[in-house]
Amino acid sequence: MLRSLILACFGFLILTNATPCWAEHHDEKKLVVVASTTQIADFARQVVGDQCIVKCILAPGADPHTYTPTPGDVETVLKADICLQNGLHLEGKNWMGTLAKDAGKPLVTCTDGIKPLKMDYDGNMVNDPHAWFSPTNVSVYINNITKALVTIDPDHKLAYASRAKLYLQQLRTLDAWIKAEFNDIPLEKRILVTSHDAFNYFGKEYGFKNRAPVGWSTGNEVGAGMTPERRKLVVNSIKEFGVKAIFVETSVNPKMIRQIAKEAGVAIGGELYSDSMGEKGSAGESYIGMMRENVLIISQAMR
Amino acid sequence: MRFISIIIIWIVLIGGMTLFMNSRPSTVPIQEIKRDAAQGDFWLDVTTTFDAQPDPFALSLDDSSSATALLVKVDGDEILREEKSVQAGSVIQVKPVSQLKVGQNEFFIEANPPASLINQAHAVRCRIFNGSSLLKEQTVWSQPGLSIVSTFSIDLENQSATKEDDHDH
Repeated sequence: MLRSLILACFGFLILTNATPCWAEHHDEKKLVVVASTTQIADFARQVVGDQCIVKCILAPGADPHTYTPTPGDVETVLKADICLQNGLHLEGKNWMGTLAKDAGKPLVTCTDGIKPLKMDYDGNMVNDPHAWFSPTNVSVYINNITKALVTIDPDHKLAYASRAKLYLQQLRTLDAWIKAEFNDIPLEKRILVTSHDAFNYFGKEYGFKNRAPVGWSTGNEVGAGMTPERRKLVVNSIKEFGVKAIFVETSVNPKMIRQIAKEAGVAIGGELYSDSMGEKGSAGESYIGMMRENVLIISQAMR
Repeated sequence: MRFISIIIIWIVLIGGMTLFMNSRPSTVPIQEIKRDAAQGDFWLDVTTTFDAQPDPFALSLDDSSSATALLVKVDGDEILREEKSVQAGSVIQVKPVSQLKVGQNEFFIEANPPASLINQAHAVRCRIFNGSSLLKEQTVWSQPGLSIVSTFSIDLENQSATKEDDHDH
């Protein structure tokens, strides 16, 4: 009798506690957002907060131009509710588009609506995919991501929009801060020499001329890779404009830029975040942190 | 026996309490407070010290709304939206402002300076009139690097502005 009473009480307790918990977890099934690059994953996290799970295909430091997807990436995309890519051929051989298409998942191209910079490589016109180096362009990324999320998850529209607005304010502040940081560097001294041609949007926004021995991509597309002519132009530019320092990139092998620095007799100014953001725990783990550190490295090396 | 009885009593108490807590409605219904419309011939004028431009960092979730150069709301209701550039020094009038209620009314101002002048401080002057009498004049300032986003309130019960509720950013 006593044993039955105890069992009944335990049963009552478990029932009253367990049922609501199950109901809550059932209600809070989170959407899965899969982004191709670290920057896009960061933008998505700024919009979704803790309401969705954001996964990134590329690891910090990985090169999107030359990346080859793994079976693990296929698994990741299969579990996605929505996929995000940069577009403008940043993802070499359209690897993110292929992953999303094969898995039958909706794909959002975050650069839709941005007027791409055209680059001339020996008569071949190529769209520059590194649009995130302008905070104004990032506002387009944020708009595209927010619109896509609102479409698939309209119940959380207000929260997505509120977070997006706050992040857009932060981008505006970042943009103004960068302009102020570079203001005391004369325009003729603003020559940015990096490993590959990734900083054209940055250059256009903040008054820099860009030089790079490697073209717009580290892969083997048209206008990509290193040519002797391009390398020669870089060395000549360094000497002609009296460039104080040149920069290596976190996602590109620094060997060539070190050789050029030695040949031209200039210092390495530091390592810039370019196609990928930093490891978790580093200053460059977020887009704003990455841009802030890049700007500080560039401005300190040029003074 | 006494020990087992204590455990049983505790289980019943905790179980009962948990059941009670889980069966409560998660939100208490909010009683809507009805406020009367303020009587008067209210209108507003707005003057910027800069050429306000459409905001390149605006969020636009549908095709019907685009980036604003100047936006004024009263308690969440839009009363002025300029999507084209607004020339510095030009006075924009909103007439009438029929959304005002008896009691506190909060005005929200958002204006976007041109990108080339973003690192300077800018200002927007707002004046609220009832007929020909000025009820409140408020100048809101931006910090360098930011657009102007500010609120101020006016109390129409006693027809006087409440200085302590100003929030400049």
